[in-house]
Amino acid sequence: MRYIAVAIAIVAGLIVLIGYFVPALAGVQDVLLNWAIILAGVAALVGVFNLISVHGDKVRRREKGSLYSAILLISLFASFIFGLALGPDNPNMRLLVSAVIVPVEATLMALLSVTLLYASIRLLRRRTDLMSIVFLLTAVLMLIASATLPFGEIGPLNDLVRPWIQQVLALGGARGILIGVALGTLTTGLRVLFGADRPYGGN
Amino acid sequence: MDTVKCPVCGQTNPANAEVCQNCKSRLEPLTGPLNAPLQAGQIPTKKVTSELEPILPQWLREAREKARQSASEEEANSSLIAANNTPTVPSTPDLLAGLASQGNDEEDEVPDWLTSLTGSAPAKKKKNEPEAEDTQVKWVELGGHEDFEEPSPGIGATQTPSETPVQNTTPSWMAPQEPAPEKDELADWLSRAGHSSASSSDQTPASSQPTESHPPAFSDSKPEDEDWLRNLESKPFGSTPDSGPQLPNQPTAFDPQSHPTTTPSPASGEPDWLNKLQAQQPASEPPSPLAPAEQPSSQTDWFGAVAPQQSESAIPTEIPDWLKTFGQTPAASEPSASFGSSSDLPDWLKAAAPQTSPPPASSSPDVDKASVSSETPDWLSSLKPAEPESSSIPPAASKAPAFEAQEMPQSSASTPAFTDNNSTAGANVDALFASMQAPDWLIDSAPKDADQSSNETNPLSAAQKGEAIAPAELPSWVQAMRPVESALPSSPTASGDSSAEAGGPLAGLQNVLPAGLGFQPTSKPKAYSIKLNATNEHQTQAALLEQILAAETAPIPMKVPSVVMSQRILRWAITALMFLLVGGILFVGTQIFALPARAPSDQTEMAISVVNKIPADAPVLVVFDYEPSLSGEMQVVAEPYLNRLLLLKHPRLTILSSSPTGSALAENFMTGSLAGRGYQRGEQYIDLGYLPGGLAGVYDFAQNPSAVMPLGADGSQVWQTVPLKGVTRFSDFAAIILLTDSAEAGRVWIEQAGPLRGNASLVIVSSSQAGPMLMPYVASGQINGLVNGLNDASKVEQANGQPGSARLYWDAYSVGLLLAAAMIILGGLWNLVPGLRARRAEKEES
Repeated sequence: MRYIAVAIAIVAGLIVLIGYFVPALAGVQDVLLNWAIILAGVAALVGVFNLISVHGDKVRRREKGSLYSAILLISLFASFIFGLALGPDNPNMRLLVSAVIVPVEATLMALLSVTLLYASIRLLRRRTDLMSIVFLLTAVLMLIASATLPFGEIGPLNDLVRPWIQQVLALGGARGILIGVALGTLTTGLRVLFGADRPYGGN
Repeated sequence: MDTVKCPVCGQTNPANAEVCQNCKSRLEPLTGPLNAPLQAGQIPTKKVTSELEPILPQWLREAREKARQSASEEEANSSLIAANNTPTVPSTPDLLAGLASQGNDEEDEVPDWLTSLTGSAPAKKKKNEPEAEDTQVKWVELGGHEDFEEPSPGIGATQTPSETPVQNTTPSWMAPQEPAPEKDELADWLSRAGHSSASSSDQTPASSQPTESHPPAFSDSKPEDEDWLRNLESKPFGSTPDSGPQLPNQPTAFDPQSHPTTTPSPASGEPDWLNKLQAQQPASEPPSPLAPAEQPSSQTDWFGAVAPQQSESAIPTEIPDWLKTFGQTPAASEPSASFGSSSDLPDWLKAAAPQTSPPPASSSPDVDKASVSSETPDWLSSLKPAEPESSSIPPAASKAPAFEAQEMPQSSASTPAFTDNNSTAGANVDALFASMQAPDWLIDSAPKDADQSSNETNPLSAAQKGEAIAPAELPSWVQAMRPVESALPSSPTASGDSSAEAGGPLAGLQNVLPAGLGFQPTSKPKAYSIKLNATNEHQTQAALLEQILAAETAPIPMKVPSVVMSQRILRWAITALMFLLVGGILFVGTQIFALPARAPSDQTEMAISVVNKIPADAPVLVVFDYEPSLSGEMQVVAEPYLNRLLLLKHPRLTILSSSPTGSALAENFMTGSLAGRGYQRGEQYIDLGYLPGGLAGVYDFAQNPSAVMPLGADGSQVWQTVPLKGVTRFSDFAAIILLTDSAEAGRVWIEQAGPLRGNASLVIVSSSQAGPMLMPYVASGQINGLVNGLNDASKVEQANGQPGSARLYWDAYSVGLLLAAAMIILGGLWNLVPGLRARRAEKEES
């Protein structure tokens, strides 16, 4: 059974990979990719079922925080039922998103802004070194350079410092990260193709 | 020139020499000279042994009393019976004398071993005793008065070791050699043996035995008692012991006048072995027990060798030379060996008692007493007044353990066989011995003997205690299981606990549970100097160790938790400032702050140019791929760009969401921010819904959009609707606008859908956080434009010429950025000083 799973994974990967270079295998590649999309959708549904199971157990056992689990389950089933019944373009459904989901998540992001600011202030007390100072100076420069004054931009910061930081420092760092990600992705793909890594199981 | 002959080696030395030039032995003893021995014709002083009656053991006194009582009763029949009977054990030393008399009255209590040892019925002994009483021979009394003050071998055999006169410098090994107080009875018994023995030759080995064991007995015996001995010594061997004078003490015992020379005729009852012995015995050899006296040097050797081996068992090697010489005859050697070794009664001893006739006269008249006295070593002569019976020490000492092994198995090897537990004569004996003058070698050996005797006393005393502890409380089988003291390890040093067990089966026993061997010191402990030799390095290390220990024990101050209060205040302060300033500005709606200036080569201008290039009423794919948390920023950033697009080109929009909430956000965006453009669902735009599968879904959608997303979000067929008219492939879209807050999502669309988009433009409208990561794709041309954050959105609005949400939020945005920068700067400086102090302190500590 283990060898069958490894063989299926390797064959599917090779077909999709070769499909980029061999047009004859594009049909097979499409079929495999459609299967992957279906499996991903089912995986999302399985995730929903898992969420219901976990919080359902908490409510059944009356553990600590079971009240929140109950609210979650009620909201989930209400959204599902109303979504199926009303459809996504129903004004009530849009109100559910715009009045509940968006403000809640936006509030969390607002708290994040305060937290990040507090951490920046306390950074030098916790870690007083050159990199911390450079980090804070860079952040301060970008903040100042991103803002404007009532009377206009802050001359050199907006014209020189901010573009230089974005185009040189940030771009160089981002490219390095992307190259690293690409190499990592390539390596991971090859390991899966060779059967060294088996994220699908069958160890 | 006068010379002195060494008593040890016989070497002649100058008269003034103190030690022998040959053997380095002392020529003159340190002790005083012996009393002059009895000379020929001298009658020994009669000794009254009744004076020693109190010091005798109780049982011995009782035995003596009974013997006296029975003597008078049997006096009439004694002469007749004595003629037909011989002593039971002629050679038995005086230690058995008491038993013999006691056995008359207590036949039932005579042990088997004793019965077998005597070989004759007790009745015979009864018959012999009257004769002995009749003759009233006290040959043992012929010795000095001191003889009777010393405990006899009988006493030594019956007394406990503690009763030996150890305090008087007399070693314990000499206790058995002392003349018995009841020598009267012994003498009687021996005299009866002498009279009753039909053949004196038969008594030769028997007579030699007492000679070996108790020469003083012979020396003190009267002539009428010694007849059988004299016959035994002289006649069988047919030679006159002229060489006998070298015997130091024995000549004093054999008085020529008191021991008339008699020629023992070979009686019919003479045993064969003795006849054979006589035949084999050379004429020149000394035939009598006095033969050892012919070898004074050997006797002195023997005497000196016996002293350190006083308590050892009777082994043949310890027999003195004169005894060895005497024992050359099988008849003489066998009895001594068998007597002291086992219960096997020697033949001569068995046969001697009933069959032997009174021994012939001793050959002592043949001995030149004068020469004997003259050649007696001085040290022995000096010893004689104190202990005339010293010549009897070796045989008695060698026999005592043998008796113990047979008769008292529970006692130690050196414990006498016959002891009187109730006897109190020990103290009197000590008093008697106090007046004695002992030689130096005896004085030196006294402590050792005292230790031995004390160790030997313990088991017996323990036995006495054990008898007093009511053994009836224990069952018989338990008593049978009680350990025998003789079986216990006789290591007096193994356990210093001499206390007896108080209870249990071991009650009354002591040293039953000896301490383990591991508790005993095996050797003398090594001596170490108590002086401390500490070098400077050691002292330095010790000081360092003390510092470390002090630091370990020093209390660590608790950190002040006030910092938590300041943090909370700081958080509230930051929140308050942000709410007041940003919220106030938003609430007021000021537009004081200037918008950022547009730049020609900016990515925002590229995105604006893309909009300008899109044909009118072209299908445009708008992908919503951001989370609700960033929808506020994304709507503000995307609104001016889409407004420009809708306003200028009126494209047919196809909405696709790569996140689960994207479809709802898209609907909310279309009906909220773009509501003013009059776009209706199903007519100007269509919602394909959520595209699952991540990379694969994006790639597959780019490969075949209609196959992957055949239905709209509402489940209707959308590919035949107006918004998707003429669109069958991914490249049929005029432009692909990606609204994302994640650089990862932008990378997926760029990498998976980019090669399949054909001539379609790809513009990414992103959050400010994703901008830096998407800049490389802008620089590489993989995307055709980028609208990043509120700053770029304000530029688009400037390009549109119509202020929008970006302008509305710009003042609050700028104030918020400046406030954040200011707080970071001030807070950083405020925390920098203590941070540096803490770092400096940390370095100092490290």
